[in-house]
Amino acid sequence: MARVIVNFPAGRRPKRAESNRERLQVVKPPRVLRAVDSPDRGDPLAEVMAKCSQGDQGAFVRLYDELSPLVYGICRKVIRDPAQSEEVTQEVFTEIWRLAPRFEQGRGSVKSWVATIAHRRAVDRVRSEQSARDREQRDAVKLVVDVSSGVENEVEDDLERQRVRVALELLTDVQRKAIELAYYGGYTYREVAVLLEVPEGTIKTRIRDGLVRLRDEMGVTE
Amino acid sequence: MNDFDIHSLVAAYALDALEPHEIELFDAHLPDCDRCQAELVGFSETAALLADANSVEPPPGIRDALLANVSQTRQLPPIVSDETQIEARASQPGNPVPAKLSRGMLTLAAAVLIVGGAFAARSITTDDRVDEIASVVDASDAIEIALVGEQGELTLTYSQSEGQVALLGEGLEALSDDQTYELWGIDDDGARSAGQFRTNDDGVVEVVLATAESTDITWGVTIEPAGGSLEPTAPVLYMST
Repeated sequence: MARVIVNFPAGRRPKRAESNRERLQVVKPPRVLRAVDSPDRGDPLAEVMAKCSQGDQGAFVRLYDELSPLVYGICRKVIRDPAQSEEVTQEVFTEIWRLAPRFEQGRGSVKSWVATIAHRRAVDRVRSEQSARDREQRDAVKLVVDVSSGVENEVEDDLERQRVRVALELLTDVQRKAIELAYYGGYTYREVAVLLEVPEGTIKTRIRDGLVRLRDEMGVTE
Repeated sequence: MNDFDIHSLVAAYALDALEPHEIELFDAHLPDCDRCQAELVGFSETAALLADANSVEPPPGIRDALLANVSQTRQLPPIVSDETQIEARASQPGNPVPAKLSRGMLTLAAAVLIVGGAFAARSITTDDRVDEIASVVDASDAIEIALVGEQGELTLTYSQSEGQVALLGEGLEALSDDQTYELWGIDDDGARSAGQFRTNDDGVVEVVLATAESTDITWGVTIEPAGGSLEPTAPVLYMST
């Protein structure tokens, strides 16, 4: 137990510092409003995102309604625990709200931007937990089964979702498992290599090959 | 690692499947590589489709809680870029992320870094540091606590929801390189380090430190040898009252 020595000058009246909030007035960077370009024609969420970036809470509600199944789905897949998934979903959308003015139209879709933030948060959550670090292989095996058997409350498949499933079936076994473990499981490629008992270099290549194949099958353009 | 090809990391990066040190490497590489940026866009779109295929309706309660939260959350300002700043950044290769503030915030406010655009950069830029301080000070549960000492002024703002404290102050003694200020959370169990900080040459402090401390503790600051100590080894110079 640390012994703490306090060394205050006796009888001296404590100085009250200037409030941090007052200091911050000086500290804040100049607010320069970005001219909002005409939204990308290709992205159905571009316009709603542009409004979000201007502080429009109504637009944010629409964004939430549109993308919350995506975000919650990522969280459930990676984190699994429903309570933590709800928590992280909230964190993700709060982050999206905060970062909205920094979203750059034309550098990827709104959906992919949101998915990136959500997946990172979810992965950070499981990796920061010791228990998650030590997850055993049986969890991974269960997970692979999960992916094909589906989850309750899953959103009804639309055409695009069906195409993803079909595209996944086109991958080699190792490609598909590696991508599923990495993305849905939140494992690093090195962990995936251990789980699948395949050399690290090979896994890195399989993830890349598989992703290229999926990208091309799904008609994603850069 | 022989034959290490940084470009080969882009797919695993898009899936958040890199080890932490590789993420750092790739984050540093990305702003300078058009090829990886272009590939990352395609891979990120593909990853989003993987996510979309597993969409799950969230419980309805989240929506209301979130909206209440958002109405109290300030948005970050957009990143402002111009040629001058791009040049300034290019002239300092390998040093895009200042580890600490070396000048006052006023000069800092003018220096805006451009990183990674839509790639939700992990790096803390100086601009983000200002926002980081703002996010603690503006948090709805922010508590401001004066740390009283003999020299200068030091205030701490604690936000439990952010898990952070912001320390702002001036007129502190500028320490030599072999010393550091260390913040302590003190209660009946003893003192736990809440991180170290330094002043600039003018004795100004502007830092955010992560902490898991609760609110009902005493905060204290000591001067410790560079690198910090496991427990306070010097008298407490600043303390919450």
